[in-house]
Amino acid sequence: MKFIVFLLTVLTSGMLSAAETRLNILRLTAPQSYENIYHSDSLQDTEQTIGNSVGLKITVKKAGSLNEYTFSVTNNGREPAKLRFQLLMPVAGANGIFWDGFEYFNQVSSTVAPTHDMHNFPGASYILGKELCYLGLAPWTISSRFERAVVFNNGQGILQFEHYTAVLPGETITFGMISGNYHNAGRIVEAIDEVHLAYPAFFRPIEGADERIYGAGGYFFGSNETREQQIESARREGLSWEWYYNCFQHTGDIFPSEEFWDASRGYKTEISHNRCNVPGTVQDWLEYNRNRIRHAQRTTAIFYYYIQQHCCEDILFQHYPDSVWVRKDRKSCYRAHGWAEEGWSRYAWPGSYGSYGEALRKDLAQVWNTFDVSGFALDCAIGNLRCYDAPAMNEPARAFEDDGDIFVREGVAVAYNLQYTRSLPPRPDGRRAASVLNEHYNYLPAFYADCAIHEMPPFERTELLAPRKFMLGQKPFYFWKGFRIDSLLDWTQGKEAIMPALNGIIDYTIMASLRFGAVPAIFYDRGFADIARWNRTFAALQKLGWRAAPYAEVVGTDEFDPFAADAKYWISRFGDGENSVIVISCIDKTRHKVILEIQTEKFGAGHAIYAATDGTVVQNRIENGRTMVELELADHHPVILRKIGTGKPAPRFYIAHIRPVHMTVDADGKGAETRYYWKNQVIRTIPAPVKFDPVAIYRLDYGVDPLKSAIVSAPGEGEAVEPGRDQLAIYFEYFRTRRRYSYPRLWGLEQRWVKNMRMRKLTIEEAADAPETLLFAVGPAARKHFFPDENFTDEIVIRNINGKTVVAFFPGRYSENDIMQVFMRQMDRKFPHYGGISDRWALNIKFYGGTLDNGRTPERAKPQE
Amino acid sequence: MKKIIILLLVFFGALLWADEKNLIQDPTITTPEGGPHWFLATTTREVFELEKDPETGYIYLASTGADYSGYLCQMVKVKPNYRYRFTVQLRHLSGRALLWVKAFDQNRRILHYDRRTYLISSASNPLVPHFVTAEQLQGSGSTDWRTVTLDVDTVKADNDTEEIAYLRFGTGPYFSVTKMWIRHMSVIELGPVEAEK
Repeated sequence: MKFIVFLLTVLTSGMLSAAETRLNILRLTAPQSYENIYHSDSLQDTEQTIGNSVGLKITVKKAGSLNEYTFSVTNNGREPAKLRFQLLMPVAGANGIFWDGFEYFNQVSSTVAPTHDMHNFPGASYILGKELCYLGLAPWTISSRFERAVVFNNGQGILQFEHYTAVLPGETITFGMISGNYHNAGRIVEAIDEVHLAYPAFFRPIEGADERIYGAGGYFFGSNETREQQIESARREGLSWEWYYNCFQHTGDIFPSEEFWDASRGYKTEISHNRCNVPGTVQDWLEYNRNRIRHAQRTTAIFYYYIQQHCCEDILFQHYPDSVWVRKDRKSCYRAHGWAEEGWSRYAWPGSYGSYGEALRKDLAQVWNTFDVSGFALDCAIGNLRCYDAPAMNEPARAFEDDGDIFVREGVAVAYNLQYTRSLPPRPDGRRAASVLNEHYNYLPAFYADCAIHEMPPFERTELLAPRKFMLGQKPFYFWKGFRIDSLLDWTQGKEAIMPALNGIIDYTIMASLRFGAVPAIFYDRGFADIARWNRTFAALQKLGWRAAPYAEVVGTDEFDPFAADAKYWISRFGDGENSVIVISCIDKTRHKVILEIQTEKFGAGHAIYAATDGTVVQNRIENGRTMVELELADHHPVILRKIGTGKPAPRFYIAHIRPVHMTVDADGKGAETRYYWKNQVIRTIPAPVKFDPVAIYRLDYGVDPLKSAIVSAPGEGEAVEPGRDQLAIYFEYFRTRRRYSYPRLWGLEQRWVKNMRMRKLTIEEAADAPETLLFAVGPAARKHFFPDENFTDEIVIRNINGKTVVAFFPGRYSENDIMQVFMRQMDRKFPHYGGISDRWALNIKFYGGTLDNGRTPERAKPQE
Repeated sequence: MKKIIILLLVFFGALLWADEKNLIQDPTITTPEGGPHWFLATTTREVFELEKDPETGYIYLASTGADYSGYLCQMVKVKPNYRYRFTVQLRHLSGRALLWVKAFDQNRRILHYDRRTYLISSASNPLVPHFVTAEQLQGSGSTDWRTVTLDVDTVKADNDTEEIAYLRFGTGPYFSVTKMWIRHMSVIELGPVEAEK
């Protein structure tokens, strides 16, 4: 019996033995010329000398469903040993699909050896029927060069993956490669998913990363004069983390030193990203940024901007000459002007070798130790360029070209420094220094960062979206820049003609965010109510984690690439098992029914029953470890399916007995209680995390001219309920001002705040005689004063007490501040504000300052008071 | 058949004639970088893909991000107060590109002179047709080879004291994610112009 179970396991999802994976080791003997110094048809633990002078140790172990081979290579010779480690695996036959880590090659029957070396996942895969094989680097391997191919000889196909290493005399280098072989597969993405599962540390944010990275990023666009208002701005716009841009004077001196400081140039404020605009000393810079960060981090995680590879030219040549980047031609070097560095900056090697890298890491540690930031924002991560000579010879992760030239890849240094910042001492609250990347062209930055930006709208460089996500795994991903459609749409056609296009672009952005597990930056929120409303959902899905293999497809379709540009249905999966979520949308707006086949057993959710979170009725049928969900799609509306329970597995041989299960979900009940229905009966209720009466909140009379509401707290206690107390105090000041001036950035509003709409902060003693009729009791003393004998948990309580209405926020599992945030979100329903469109195109068609909402013609919102 | 041969002879003859007059060196861009004539003018070289197709010899130029511009350029010695025609044979696959001409004095110092024409491509846009119609987009949807021209006069700007001695002719991505192929560039002298007084 045990043997049958074993056999079934192997036949359905198991691994073949390591014997399927072969190894060649080739040594470069002359330009373009190699000799084979080792071959094995059966990879197993071994230790021996090969090619007369190379010590080789191989250790084989399991890593999830993959085999991992650790190679330890010692050069006992006198010359650098330039070695190609070539893993080989026979494929099931011709006419399969080859994936080279970046793109697909379909119906392959002859050798394919791509040379494209940007945006590649460090692996390659081949599938024919249900036979899927995979070869690649163990994710912990830092490689400057890998190659991949599928090679056909006389109809026999071999998948091939190579790692290049140049080992210096006396040196030992260790690296890892992996292989996987699956017999019941459907798509190549399943192999990528297996790599993600086997090595979670490389595909999730570091433990201790500030959880706010799951939300939307952006900038405050504030100033010292708008610090009070910016906390409410962050709440309204959902600014979860800030790309704390370019505050230093020189590249290469990111924590400014007296030695390099030019006091006449001074420092940059937020309003001047690329030019110092306030003369001052290093101390002035320090105080300005301390103050700015202290305010900002009340609502928003701060990621301190820097670039690793650009260094002010003068500083580089005078102080770090050993770190000047050396290109292949040995003559020139990459330069940039007038951006992060006002003058010229030059490419520098920032790795473990060289004085520049050492100085950079010292600065990074000083930033972490000085400011309350949550980590670093690394711009221009790139990672793909090659550096030669001294840096290459001094970095163990070096490789070589076929002409023998030794180089080291940019990503080697980037990964080293990202690992360095992650290993800085954690904060007392447990936070570790996480990193946001901008634009990774290589796997190394992606594997060592914690989240990353696609620095453009979701409809640009779409061919990079899936490859970038494969490299990131479950790490958060963001669309940046905003819509940037000035030169996209033909604005001469006028408002009405162009409106469907605008709505189409919004639909696309929402659908692409769900498909690729991305959060649009707040530039997409301002003036676009639809996107703003989706933002919390995007963030929640990020937290669950995007998965490379959706394990779901619409019956009747046959897409080998679920993320293909021309796919009709956009399907993605977030989370595994109990917390799994499937999202589906359709590029065709026509209303139609589909059956979505979800292979639930493949991701630990066997026999799952799904319900649509928007209340759409869906029908589940459980069959052979799969759930077939029948649902209706229309108007680009995405359907999010959440697992709400587990059905009985249908007996495999009694398909006729499978019973349909009708499910609806009401996610917007009183107090945000969630109810799941089956045949109109409530079968499961998820209690609201915070109890409140939305209607009572809506009916509260806050007052206008004069304001009738005030905050009551005991001295010293209100401060503990931050930022909620200050956000509530400023709620109407911000709302009223923004209704009048929806489009300027915060720094454009300095003289425009409607300050008489700010709530007063009263002591308990002052409250009795105050003219305000609506009081918010904040802090334990105020709660006890107004509710002396009552004790609630996680509840917003509203009472009439002595002719005044008193609102209190009783903590429990959630803090008082958390509950105030829930309360203010309810207030937002009565006082909605999504900002105004400030793009140039909005001027063309007279939308400037207006809000586009739910497909309606944008128009200036009218004050509701 | 005869007609085809004659047409081909006329066509290649015209090309030869054009290249005789062409002030651009290496007009088919055999060496896009590192040679004596062509260079990529940009602040951030690493975000551009500049490759020569080994089979056709055509040049592929693409930007990998939207925040930078980069132009495949050549400096050409010119006469002041003359008109020149800048011609580029290209395929525009996506994004926004620019034909851009800047002027320099005898000492190759940059002058206040800027002539340009924008090229916008609506081709390969993933928004079309299910989210946006092709008609709602700016620019051309064609990805075929085409010839784009820009006529410029070497009349110095009012705020320049020096005469124009060189023009830098270039084309490439203009602050957008752009992909294009280039196979030929030419600059032809059209004759003297009367400077406006």
